Amino acid sequence: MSIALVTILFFVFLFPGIFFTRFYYTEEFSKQYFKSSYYELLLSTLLPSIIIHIAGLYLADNCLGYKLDLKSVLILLLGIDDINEKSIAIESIQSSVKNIVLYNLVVWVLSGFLGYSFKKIIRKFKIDRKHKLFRFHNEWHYLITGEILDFPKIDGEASKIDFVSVDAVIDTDAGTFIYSGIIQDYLLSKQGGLELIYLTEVNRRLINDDPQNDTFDNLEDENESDDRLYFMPGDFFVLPYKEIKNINITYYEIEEVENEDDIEDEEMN
Amino acid sequence: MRKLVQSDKAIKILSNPTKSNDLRRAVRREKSDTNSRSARSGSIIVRRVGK
Repeated sequence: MSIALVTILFFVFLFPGIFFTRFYYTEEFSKQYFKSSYYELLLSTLLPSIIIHIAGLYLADNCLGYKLDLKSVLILLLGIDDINEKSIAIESIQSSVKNIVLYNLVVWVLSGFLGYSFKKIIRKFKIDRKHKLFRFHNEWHYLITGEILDFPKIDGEASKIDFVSVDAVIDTDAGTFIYSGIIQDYLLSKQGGLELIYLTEVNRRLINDDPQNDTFDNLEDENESDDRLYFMPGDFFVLPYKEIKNINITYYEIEEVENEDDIEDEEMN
Repeated sequence: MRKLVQSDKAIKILSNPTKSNDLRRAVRREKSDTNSRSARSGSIIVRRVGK
């Protein structure tokens, strides 16, 4: 049997696993699929392929009455020299071409659906946060969204987070600045590292102008502006990660209370 | 752009100029006081989540 035919059959056999894995690593974790090595990819597709084929063939046999002609497949795969057996195997496959194609198409579509559903289940029940085995290799996602707080042995609860604040140190010709803002989104590079961070509500100050504990006490008016800060105009501020020397991430929850001024106003009325 | 972790509460506050100003001040105040894990400005209190 030609090597080309064996390779094609091998890939056809692996396709369910490839579809499963491709749809498992989607959305925020899609880069993980592309940065896997061929060896990792083979391993991660082989097991799902075997399981899906076993389930698929079992269902095809029990629900539709289609049995896998394993003997014919092995004769063709192993390249047995017996011409009679070979021709019987080819005839058997030729007579079932429609069913074979249909089986594979259905299995491929179902594999993609299963992969996506499996990922959704892992994410919904936070299994990836609780068990390292299921964790995706996008560490930045866990850090930036605060899902890292749900990891074992880390204090906090990601569900309490209302917004994430970031302070990034950046060197410029005018000095070293700290840019502070609220994280809106991020972009990963092809290698899987962080490439860009999108911020809103951004202000900038020189690193030497650290606030003191009494900075705000010294401001006479609550609404007096802090002279150390320059507020960046625009809707989004984009920080290229390669420019950042280090980064400080803080997770906040918000509580809205009735304004004391409002209470006073109501009392006067 | 997908919504990352901003809650509906945060989005609502940030869309209100007075409240977003309070939020910014509260965050700056919280960051400037190393002994505190929360701060208030106007009607907004911010609290650190986690360690």
